[in-house]
Amino acid sequence: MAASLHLDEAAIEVDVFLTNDRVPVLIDGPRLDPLTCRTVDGAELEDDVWLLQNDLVDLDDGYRCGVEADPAWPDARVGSAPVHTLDGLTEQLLADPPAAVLLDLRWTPNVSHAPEVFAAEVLERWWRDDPPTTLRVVADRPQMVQAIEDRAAAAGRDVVTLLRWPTEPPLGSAAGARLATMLAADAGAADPWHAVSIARADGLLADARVLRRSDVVSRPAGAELGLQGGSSEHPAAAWLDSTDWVLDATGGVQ
Amino acid sequence: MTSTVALLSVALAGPVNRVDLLSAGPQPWLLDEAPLAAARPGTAALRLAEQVSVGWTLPLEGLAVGTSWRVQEVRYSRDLGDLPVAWVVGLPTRLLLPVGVRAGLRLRLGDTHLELGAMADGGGSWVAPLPGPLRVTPTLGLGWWTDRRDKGPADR
Repeated sequence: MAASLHLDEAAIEVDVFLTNDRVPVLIDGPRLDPLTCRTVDGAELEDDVWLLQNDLVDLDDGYRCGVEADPAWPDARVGSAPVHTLDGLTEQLLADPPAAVLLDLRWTPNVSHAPEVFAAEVLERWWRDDPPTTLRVVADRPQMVQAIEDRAAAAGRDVVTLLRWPTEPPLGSAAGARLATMLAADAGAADPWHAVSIARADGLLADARVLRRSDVVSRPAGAELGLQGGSSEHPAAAWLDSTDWVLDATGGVQ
Repeated sequence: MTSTVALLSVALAGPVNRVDLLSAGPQPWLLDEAPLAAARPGTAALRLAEQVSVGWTLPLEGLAVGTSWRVQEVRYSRDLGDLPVAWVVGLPTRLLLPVGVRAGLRLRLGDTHLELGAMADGGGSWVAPLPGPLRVTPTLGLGWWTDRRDKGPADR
């Protein structure tokens, strides 16, 4: 698990979703990814496997997940391990914590538990182990960010929340959504910091393919800014200041 | 809807007299997007298209309007004597919300024109209308005239 999540990085990002029995697992959406997951017999997934229709034990008994083949990671294999849980991650983090962890909550309307349930399960489990690392939480949608903020406030805790920009569609084309958001923002009909304000988030996780220089210039005082999909070598990273960070393609944070 | 009506009114008021491939407006493409073109060519190409501006004459001499996906601008210009040069001031808007001011000099070169100046841009949009930190940038405009019957002033 440590190797697959690159826990040797200074900071990491992991995707989180809830199973039917409300267990946070490290899966990047409401379904098992047919490209990286297999049945326990090694067969390809023929039908959608929705997490909201499966308990953790169903996933453990029926499926194995991994990553797509990547020459940079010779050990990377499809369908190689049981689904990782957030509990397993926090256990690892207690032993060897990176400086920061970014939990990417992939809450999706209509195919997830309610945002309040999502927030409660993730935060309570995190706080139970309370690994000694800086926690940031990112979400696509305002209601998920607000649920995190409300839960943290009720617990008297402080959690840094970030809104992803542009919002990824629940199940549709990410490229189409990115294009629509870019056209709207460039015409003046949408604004990332306005979206952050509506969501009551602490900052923005902006796609390096879309971020404008004016978005950096117009950042409200104290707001955090992360750049996703680039690297510290990306030219847009030159716009960032020393407190900002870059989330690279492998889930590492620079 | 408001902007559509406004653009239609402008279109009816006068013919297209110029097209700017590079607009001398806020968030200049050359400054903000061109340096990233190798890293994100699709975005750079789209944003280049977004800032291509169509200029429209208005009945009042020296007054014109430029419209692009990004910016709608009212501008006023006057020739500098008999020189093929005019000074220009502009009020750029985003969906008709003023976002700054700009000033510059425009050089007419036959069918083309080149404009150099500076822009003070406070940002803002209808969803977040309060201006942010003021950003002053140099501007470069490049385009051509579509109406050769228009002999002067350099831009109406």
